[in-house]
Amino acid sequence: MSGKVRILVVDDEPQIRRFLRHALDASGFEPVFAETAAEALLSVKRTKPAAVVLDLGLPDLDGKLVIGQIRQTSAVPIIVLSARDQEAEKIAAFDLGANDYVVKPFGIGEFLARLRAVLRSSQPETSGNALLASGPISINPDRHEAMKNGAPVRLTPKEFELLSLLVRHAGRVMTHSHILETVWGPAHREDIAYLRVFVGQLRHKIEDTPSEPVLILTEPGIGYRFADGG
Amino acid sequence: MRTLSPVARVSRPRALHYVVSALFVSAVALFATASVSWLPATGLPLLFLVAVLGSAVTFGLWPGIAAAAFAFATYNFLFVEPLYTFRVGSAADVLALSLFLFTAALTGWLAGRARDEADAATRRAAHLAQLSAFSSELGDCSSAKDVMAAFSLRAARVSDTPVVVMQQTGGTIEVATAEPAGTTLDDVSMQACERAFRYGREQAATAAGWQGSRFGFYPIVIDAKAVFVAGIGAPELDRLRSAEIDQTVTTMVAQAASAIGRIAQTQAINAARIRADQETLRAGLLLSLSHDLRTPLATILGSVSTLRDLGHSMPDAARMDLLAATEEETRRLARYVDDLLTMTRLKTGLKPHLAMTDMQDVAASAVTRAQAAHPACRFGLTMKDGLPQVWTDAALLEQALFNLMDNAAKFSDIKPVHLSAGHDESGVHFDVTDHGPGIAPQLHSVIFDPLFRGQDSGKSGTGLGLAIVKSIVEILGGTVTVSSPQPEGKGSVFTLFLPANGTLSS
Repeated sequence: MSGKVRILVVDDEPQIRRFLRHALDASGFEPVFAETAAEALLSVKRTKPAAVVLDLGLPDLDGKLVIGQIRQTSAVPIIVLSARDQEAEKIAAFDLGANDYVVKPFGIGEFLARLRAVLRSSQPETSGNALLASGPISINPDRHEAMKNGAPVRLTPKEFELLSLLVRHAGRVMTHSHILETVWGPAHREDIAYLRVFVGQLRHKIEDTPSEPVLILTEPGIGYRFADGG
Repeated sequence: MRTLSPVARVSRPRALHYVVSALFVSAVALFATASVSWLPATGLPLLFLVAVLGSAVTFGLWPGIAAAAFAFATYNFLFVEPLYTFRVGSAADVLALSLFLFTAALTGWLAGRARDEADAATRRAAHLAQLSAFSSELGDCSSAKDVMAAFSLRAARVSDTPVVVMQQTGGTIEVATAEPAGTTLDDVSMQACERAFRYGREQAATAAGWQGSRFGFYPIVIDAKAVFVAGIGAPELDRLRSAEIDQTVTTMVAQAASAIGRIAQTQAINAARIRADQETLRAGLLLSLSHDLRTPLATILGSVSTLRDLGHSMPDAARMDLLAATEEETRRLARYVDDLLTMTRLKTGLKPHLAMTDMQDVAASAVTRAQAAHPACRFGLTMKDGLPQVWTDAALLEQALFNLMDNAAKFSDIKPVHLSAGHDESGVHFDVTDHGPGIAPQLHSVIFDPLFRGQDSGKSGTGLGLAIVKSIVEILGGTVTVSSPQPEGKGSVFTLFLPANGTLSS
């Protein structure tokens, strides 16, 4: 058994598995494969992968249902791989617990970057009250302090919660409804305009050029993603 | 809603009824004169009452009353002292005569009224029968035209006159349906009909003896617009019966309007459902198309970017495998684009290049091409002697035969595929026989649909091959059919038939 990070690739297209095998091998991962939803669920249990790359168009079950079933037993990061690019499809996948979404066709560079991001954000030390950091931003949850390049940033309590949430999940796409529910409560799930205002304010305080954000990135129609600063 | 009780409006029977009533009384008077010698005096008034009763029962209220008055006068003239005058001698006779008059009038009135009410009840029952028949017919109507045809028939039965239903199309008013067929409107009636269309209000027929329209017009109004106008001939009838007909026709007009409204609504719902079904179908095709185009693109882009980004740290075998995958998927994409273009050309009215074509050449060429595409599969060819030349497009026919063999080979693994050609006086037929798994009969109707793909067709199919065959044979005026599975439970035979005269569907 190697010490390599194991990645489960679930796709019924042999050609996709073929190039992903070479790409993951060459990048130092240990790829394992599944062609159907049943195989995938079994493999998540048996091989305990560090991340799952999941095609939504599986022959035996809708991939979205697979996300839900994996989530019942495991918090393993899931990157959805799909030829379906409708927003509703993406939002549904995110709401079911997917961590990221890559539309076919894609370049291998982008795919590997996203894979590294979800692997990083799933590491245990970023949870709890430890110091959070991503790129120039660092957050001390105990003292309710946010710093940019070591200099304190003045934030309202809601802005602070919003930024903490995004930084804690840096590199991952957070849907509008998930952010609203976590920061403002379930009654505000639909208040996307409200969220936009807060994100605008936050960008003014932390971005160098608020009109061209490089930290809080917009995923059009889906939500926001905090730039993964490594 | 107008309500009319039979008593509120009295009938005005024709003059003849009065004459016959008078004759009844006269006959009784004659009989009484002749038999006065032996008839008891008390029987005389009773005889006259019989005449009054007879008139009232036969002709109704007013002839009955008139008969009573006439009987009173006659009785007085003939049988009350002084005789042959209308004078009355004794006070007792005055009393007796007054009683007679009262009794006669009461008898006439009661009997006449009973008769009128019985008549009205009969007519109401007849109208109700027509209304109920109309209601049940409305349930079977699927268009406004059906509704109005049923209306004109039933309205004509109710009014016992001709009925014309008019419609307005692009400014001109014309007959939509009529009962009896061929009934038309004169100029005056046409003007009344136009008014009914313009104002959406009833136009009453002109009373008998006056200049004007002989039809009453009832607009059928839907969404504040007169869609039809029904013209009901004015019957030569008393006011009461005209009013009854008017009431029934008005009810039928309301029923017709609501039925037409309901039909329009149902049609709108059906149209929306068909549109939604087409949308779903189109969305499904688009999803399938986007998947089929994106999967090879994903492999190509993924392999190429892997080679560029990571190629330096890969074994040679992996690099070669990625290049092979790229090549395979590029070819697959090219085939897909070819099929899509062919399909589009065929669907957008491709003009075939027609010439006298040798069937042997075309079949041999298709087999050669199929063999090149599927080297592992063995293709056979059997041609009957004396195949005629056919006026057709050689390239399209070859493409269709190739697609049939290509499809057969995909499901045949390495089992042989055979093309045979024969002919009779009707035309030439080609049979492509395979020994694959066969096709379930319930799929026969969909295998020629664009983007339909059988299971286990491998990854190379575009779902367009058989759809292209179908489009081609349609252009060439032929047919393509499938017979599967074969009696032994496996394998399929696709038959492409071309008519001998090369008939072309234009």
